[in-house]
Amino acid sequence: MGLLLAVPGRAAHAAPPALATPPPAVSHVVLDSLRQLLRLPQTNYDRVLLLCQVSDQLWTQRTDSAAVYAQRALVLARRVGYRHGEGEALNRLGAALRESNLAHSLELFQQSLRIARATRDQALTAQNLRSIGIIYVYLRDRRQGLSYYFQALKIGEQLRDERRVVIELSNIGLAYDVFGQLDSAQLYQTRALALARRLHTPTNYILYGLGNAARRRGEVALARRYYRQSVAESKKVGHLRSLNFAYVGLAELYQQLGRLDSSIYYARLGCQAGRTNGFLRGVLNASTLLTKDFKRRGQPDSALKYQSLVLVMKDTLFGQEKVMRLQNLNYREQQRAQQAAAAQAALRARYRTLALVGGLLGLLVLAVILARHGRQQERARRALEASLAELKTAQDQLVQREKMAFLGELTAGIAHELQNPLNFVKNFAEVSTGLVDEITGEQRDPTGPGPARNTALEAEILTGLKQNLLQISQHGQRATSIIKGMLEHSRTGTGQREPITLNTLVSDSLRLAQQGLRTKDQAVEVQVTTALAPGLPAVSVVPLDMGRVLINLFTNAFYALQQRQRQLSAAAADYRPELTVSTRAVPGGVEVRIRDNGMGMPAEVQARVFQPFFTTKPVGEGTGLGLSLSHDIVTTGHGGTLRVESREGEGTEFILTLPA
Amino acid sequence: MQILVVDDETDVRDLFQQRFRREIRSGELSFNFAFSGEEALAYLRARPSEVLLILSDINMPGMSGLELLGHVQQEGHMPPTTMMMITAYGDDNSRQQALSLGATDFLTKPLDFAVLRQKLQELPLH
Repeated sequence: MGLLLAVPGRAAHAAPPALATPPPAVSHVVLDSLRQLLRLPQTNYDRVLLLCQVSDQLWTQRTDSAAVYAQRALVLARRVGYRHGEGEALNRLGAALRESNLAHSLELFQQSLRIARATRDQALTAQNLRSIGIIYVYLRDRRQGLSYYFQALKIGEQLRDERRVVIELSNIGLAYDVFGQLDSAQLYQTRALALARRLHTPTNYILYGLGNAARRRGEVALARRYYRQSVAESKKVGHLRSLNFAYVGLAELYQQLGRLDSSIYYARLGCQAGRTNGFLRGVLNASTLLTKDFKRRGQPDSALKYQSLVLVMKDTLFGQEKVMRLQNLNYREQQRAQQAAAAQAALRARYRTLALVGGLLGLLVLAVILARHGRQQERARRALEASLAELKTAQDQLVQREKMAFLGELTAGIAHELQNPLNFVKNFAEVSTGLVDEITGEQRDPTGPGPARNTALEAEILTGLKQNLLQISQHGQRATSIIKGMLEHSRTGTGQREPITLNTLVSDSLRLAQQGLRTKDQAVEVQVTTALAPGLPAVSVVPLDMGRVLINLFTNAFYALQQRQRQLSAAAADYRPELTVSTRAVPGGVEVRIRDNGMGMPAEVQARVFQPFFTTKPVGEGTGLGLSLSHDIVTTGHGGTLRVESREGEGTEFILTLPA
Repeated sequence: MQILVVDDETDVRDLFQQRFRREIRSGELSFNFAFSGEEALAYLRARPSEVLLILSDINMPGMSGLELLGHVQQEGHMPPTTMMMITAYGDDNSRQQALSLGATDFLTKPLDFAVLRQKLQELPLH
């Protein structure tokens, strides 16, 4: 049967960085000082790690003691809920039980690995990968064993943990040795040795590996030298396992050489070291050699003795039950993984289903919401359309009201205009009736000269009559032209542009506005000054529209003056409301300025006067459309400009320009 | 009795002369006419104490009838003159204002000459 090589799961130098790495030469001293430390008070966390370290140190000498400390560390770590410590302790326990219970050992490593991965503990992960790799190498599973080793190596390199890398390289070398790949074994052990020398870390295993490689190549002297170096170093650091390896190596070498005595000698030493340490595999290897040696020497008794030992070892190590358990365990692990994968798949499927159902529900909800939203939107749209229509109607009504208000003002002015000529007509007619009566004698003056006709008086009366008839005619004509003007003003629809004399339009509009004002507020006596430049170019306007603009501007000016006078009525005896109207030619057209010394407007009001529905008048007095419509008529209707200049408390000036 | 009629309508002269033809001819009444407040004031200043009654329109361009009334009352060198105000707007406000400024009476347009004649005959100064 072939050699079963034990590979160290752990070396003293791989201890957690919290505790200093002890020099190899003083491992028993280190162990003593660690035990000393354990007697001192410390935190539970430190204690867990300390126990692990003690276990490490014991592992190279007595694995059962190592197991005890690892167990204590595990119990404490679990009690205080120290996950990292638990992982470390599980690994130690697994390493300590590896010889006596491979299956349990694998289980412990896998537990520790799960913890390491869950806590993203890279060092512990690498540690367990190595430990599990060792088991697979034990089981001669080359693919799995090397796979675990190389994973561990990769992490070690990533962590730049060169001490760890030394051990991984050495383990890989030993694995290649086991699987008969001598060149690879040599290569990795050489790399491991170079690195270990540089780091001054133990080389006991590496030397053993190199010895094996040399032996297989047939380089006896070299092999013997490496083995002896390994023996020396193992003794120095108190590493019974590597000592066992080195002795067994020497024994094998001598067996190959046929020097059975030497072989037996070294095999016995190896067997002893293995037993002391509890390293069954090492004992098995040594016993197998001894059986062979004794058989060759013709000592069947001794051979039988070691043979039976081998059987016991094999029974212990490879008992059918254990193998079964191991296989079972492996199977369980696989099953666990499969179950996990299946569970995950099921979960994924469930999530998918849930997501699908959720999505469907969401879509349904969305659809309902959209439908509702659509309906609401439809309702809102209809409501909006309705209110828009209402607004339009209201706006139209307001515009109409403004027109009516304007017409009302106009009518008031016109009515007043008509009253005077009609009074004259009436009065002159009455007076004339009286005169005729006088002639016909009905009211003859009783103090007069009797029935005799007074020719002088008759002539005077006739002259008066003619004069009266002329007056009646004139005032009738006056009334006619006023009505004609009114008809012009009230004529709706398409106003045609026609060239007009601006000054006439301004005067007429001013007069109408004044009349309108008098009908409304007789208390305001405004000093009106007109400065109309002669010889202005004719402008082409719609007379009705432009007249309306001018009347509106005048009316506003009067309103401002009236407001100011009303406000100041008590204290301002020296305030005289004034309105100045001027016209002049400007480049490209004519300009009308209408200035009042009324209230004036603050800037914010000035900015808005031309906006529709803006008014400063009390509710009910203004529609807020006058200036807006005026602005519209001037700018879009006639291509002119209408702007305002005002100072609060000083007055306002509207400037209207029209293109010639 | 000297009467000054103040109105911006020039045709009132013809009207008054026709209406009071007989009173004028008999010398009972004498009419003078001014066509603005300013003109009226100038006339009064030029002929103090001649005019006993002023008939004034209120709404006139320039000096209004009420302003004229104010001036007549202020200028103390003139004898107390009876003032009758005439306006097209016969509202109470104007009436009150005119009367508070010292007007004797308040007439509305169109003038009822029968009423005016009656009032002239009842004047205490007559």
